[in-house]
Amino acid sequence: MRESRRLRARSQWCAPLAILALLCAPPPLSATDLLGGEAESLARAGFGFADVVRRAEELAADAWRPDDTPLPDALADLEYAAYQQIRFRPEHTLWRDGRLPFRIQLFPRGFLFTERVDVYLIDDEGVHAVPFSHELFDYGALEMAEPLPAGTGFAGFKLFYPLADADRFDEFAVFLGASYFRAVARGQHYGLSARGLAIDTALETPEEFPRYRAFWIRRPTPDDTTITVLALLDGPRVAGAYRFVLRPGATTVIDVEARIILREQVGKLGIAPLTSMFHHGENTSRHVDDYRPEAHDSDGLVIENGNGERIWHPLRNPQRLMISEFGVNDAHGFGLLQRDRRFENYQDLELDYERRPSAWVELLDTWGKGRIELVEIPTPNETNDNIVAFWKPATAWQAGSAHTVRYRIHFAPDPEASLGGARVVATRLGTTPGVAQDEADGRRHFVIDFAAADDGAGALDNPPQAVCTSSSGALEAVTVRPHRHLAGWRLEFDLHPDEDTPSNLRCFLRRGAGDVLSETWAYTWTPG
Amino acid sequence: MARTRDDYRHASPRRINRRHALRRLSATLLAARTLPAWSAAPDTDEGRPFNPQWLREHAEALARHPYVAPTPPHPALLARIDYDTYQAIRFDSRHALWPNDPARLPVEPFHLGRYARLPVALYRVENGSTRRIEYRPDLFDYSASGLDGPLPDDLGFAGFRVMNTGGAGDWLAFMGASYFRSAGVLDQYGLSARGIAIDTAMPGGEEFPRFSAFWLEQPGRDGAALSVHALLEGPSLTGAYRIDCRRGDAVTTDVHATLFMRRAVARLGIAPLTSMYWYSETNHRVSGDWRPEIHDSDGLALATGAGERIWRPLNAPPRVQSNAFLDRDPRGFGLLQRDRAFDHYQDDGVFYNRRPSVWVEPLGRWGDGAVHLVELPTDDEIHDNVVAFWSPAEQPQRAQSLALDYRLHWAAEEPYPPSLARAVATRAGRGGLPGQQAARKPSQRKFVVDFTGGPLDSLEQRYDLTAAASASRGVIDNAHVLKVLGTPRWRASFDLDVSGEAPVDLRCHLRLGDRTLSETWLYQYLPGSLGLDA
Repeated sequence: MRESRRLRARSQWCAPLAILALLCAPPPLSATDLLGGEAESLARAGFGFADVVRRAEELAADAWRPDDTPLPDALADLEYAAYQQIRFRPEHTLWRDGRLPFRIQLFPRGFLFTERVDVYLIDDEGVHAVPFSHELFDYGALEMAEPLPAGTGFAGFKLFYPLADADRFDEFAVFLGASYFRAVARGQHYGLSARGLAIDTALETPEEFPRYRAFWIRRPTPDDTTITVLALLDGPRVAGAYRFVLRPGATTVIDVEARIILREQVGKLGIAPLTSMFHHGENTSRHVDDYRPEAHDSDGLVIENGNGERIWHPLRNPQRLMISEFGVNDAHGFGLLQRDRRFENYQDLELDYERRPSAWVELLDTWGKGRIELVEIPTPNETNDNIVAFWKPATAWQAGSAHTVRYRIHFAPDPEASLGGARVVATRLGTTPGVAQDEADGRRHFVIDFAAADDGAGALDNPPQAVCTSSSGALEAVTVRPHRHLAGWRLEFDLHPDEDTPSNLRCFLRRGAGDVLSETWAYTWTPG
Repeated sequence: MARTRDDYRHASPRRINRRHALRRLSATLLAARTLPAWSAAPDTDEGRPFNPQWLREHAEALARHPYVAPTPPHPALLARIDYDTYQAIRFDSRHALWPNDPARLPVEPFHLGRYARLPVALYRVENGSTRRIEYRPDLFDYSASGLDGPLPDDLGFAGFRVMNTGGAGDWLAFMGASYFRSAGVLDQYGLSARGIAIDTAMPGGEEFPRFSAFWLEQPGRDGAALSVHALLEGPSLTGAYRIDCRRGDAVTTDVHATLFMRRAVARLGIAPLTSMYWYSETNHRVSGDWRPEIHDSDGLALATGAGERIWRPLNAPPRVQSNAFLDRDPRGFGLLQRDRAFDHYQDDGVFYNRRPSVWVEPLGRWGDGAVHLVELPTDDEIHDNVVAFWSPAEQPQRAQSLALDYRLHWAAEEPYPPSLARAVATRAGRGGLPGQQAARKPSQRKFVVDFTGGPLDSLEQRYDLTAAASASRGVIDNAHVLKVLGTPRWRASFDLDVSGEAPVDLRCHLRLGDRTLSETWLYQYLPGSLGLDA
């Protein structure tokens, strides 16, 4: 996980800290377009996803070869601050002639992003490599003894679109580092990331980070509202072809089609992985010496199973690595959400946690039996990504096999707005009030707030029944009451845990046997 | 000064039941842990016209004699009336004073018990005549209490509460030593007032004088709904009190008292307020409790004689802390609950968000003295741990008398808000910036103070406001002021770099050029009092 956590560091720094905002904001525009007729044309009209699939198959047929493009000395061993000195010159922004709805800027190699990524544009005439040139970047305070060679290449790119105003291009998506990409909807700030693939996450063996080694971006027409990006994935044990169709807006939707080929068997294959950060929240009952009540990019994992059951698992920053698995069959989707949208609960004027996107992964087609895995990693700070969630097949995919998956990621403030049923909007826990510590015997008091679905508002004063179970220990004093400050109900109980045995807790609300009112709240309490 | 509070409820299962019990007994003030023994109540003649002048003379005459400590009656019986038994004893509201008079407020007496062992004398005054209210066992329903056999006829009462018109719920209560309190305009009991405080947090120990007799007069004097006349008795003094209680859009209790000193005291506490502060956004998560904040009051507000407005957020310190704010002719002070957001407390049983603020408004000039703030360590919400009072520069001597006149406002908001911006939130945590662990110094702490109102209301985001921040020791760095966009708040934040354990007094107010925009935020930072990251 080290790589993903380090990558997280970048995302944090690119968050709108006042002084860093300049580095991440769409720059002013001037001068000539990068391509300007000089672009190398590969003259392959009609290049498409099938071509990338073929390349992936060719890659997979051979043993994996690491990238051997040398990193110029001037870019080697750059710390974050030095890397930030290198800025793409806005006048070289691709498609900045103003007629196209999308624009592109490129990232330099360096810092964590040392490997070369080839970037191509596809238009009616063919495929054009975006040539590297030393002049594309401003190197700030860095001393550059000589210009970077033409073969240096890029590390990734970011996309711009008029998200809010017709005449202002806002950055809305980034592809940078391994197979990471992330996006925002209108009015949001970057938060969690997606990846193309996760391999051997949280196993004894090191995690493998396959990477996109080439991107092809299709030139849009002036009326397009989507942009298509093709990508070639490569790693020691996998190769793959990806098609991303990005539609920025109030919800930014990315349709993903992936053809994944296994060179070798892997220990754990994570499909459609999401990567996020949870440092502390209202369910953190140990003392955190921070003036901010909460700091997280996401506050829960949601799963919509094929049978209609919806599970909400609040995130934790655990004392030890935690892995949770949820068996699913033809799941509709899963997501890492930031349900809490109130500034009051974060109090951070610079990091804007309340404006970070939720990501809902809608599984297209029928995915069959599998598991959603949630990995929670202890983190001492909020610059590390410490949360991973993905789907994995029930039966391991074999070496040499190829698989197509299609899914749709919704980056939005509330991508689950259309889902029915009562939702958990807060999970709190702590000591049991009124019980002396020496008599508590490890008891924990849980307080879970459910917001009723709109159609349930009429019956708020008549609290439903709570169905709560624990895999170990005893549940005591389970109560449900109307929540006057919320159109919903408050569920409370005490968990009297077994010594040293984790308790897998589940709760939902219902009226009568068949009338389930809420999603299922799932949580694990680990004594000590 | 510590006393057990009634409004604490246990875990959720019992909560429901407790809430019903509290509705009946929400004003119950369980008495001090260790009350001194007390003198018996005075006799007054049945039917004799009541006259405050008589009460003053009576108090003055008593003061010429040594204090006689009263003896609790029926100690074995009262010892059996523990918390749960007490809750099970119900007053029969048909026997309330003024029970069915639409123009009068019903009054119900409190029963005695293990935590309220000393009886008080109760008199009703109406149309100039006085009638003593005697205890009778049939005033109470004991059927659920488990107490068997007839109760003695001479048991007496622990105090009384004033009910809402119609008898549903109460809004004012007197019980235990010289404590009284009102549920205020938000209808939720919280902090208490006392008639007097003597030698609070002094080495010799605190003295708790007691109201030993009450004369309840309806309608009250000077247009008040109710006047509570009371005799105060203690080892060091006696006093004659008249407390005019008004309830309308505001709830006020005007205190007019004359004290007669039996002996000199080290520190006389005038207009004392007693409250509870465990934790808030300032020192959040010190408790392990699931609730984000637990307190009856979040700060001491001062309106000085010179016109300065000061806000001092409260602490729950690791050791007793006493602070004195010197002043002349103060315009007022109060223990306030400025934070009114339910979300910040999350307790839908005891509603800390609705607990009253109490503002002390001197009627007349108080001269030189100091507002004292005493903060005690605490690890729960059932004990009061904060006291504020005025103490004169010259302490009264033996045989001296002293007149007190002040008004207590039991309010949702302070009755005389400053024209300048107010500090509405104080947060603290490790210093430095998120994501820059390497640059973080353990000796550095960040303070984040939100101000709102007054001249800030008309300002859009701008970058030239300054935080005039200073510290009694240590170095302040990274001070800046920004509007919290989307809210009417402006935020001053700064890092304090300080080593050592000694308290640090911090001050901060907002400025624009040489113009002062806010009241003065004062805070006492106690290094080492907040836990560090695990």
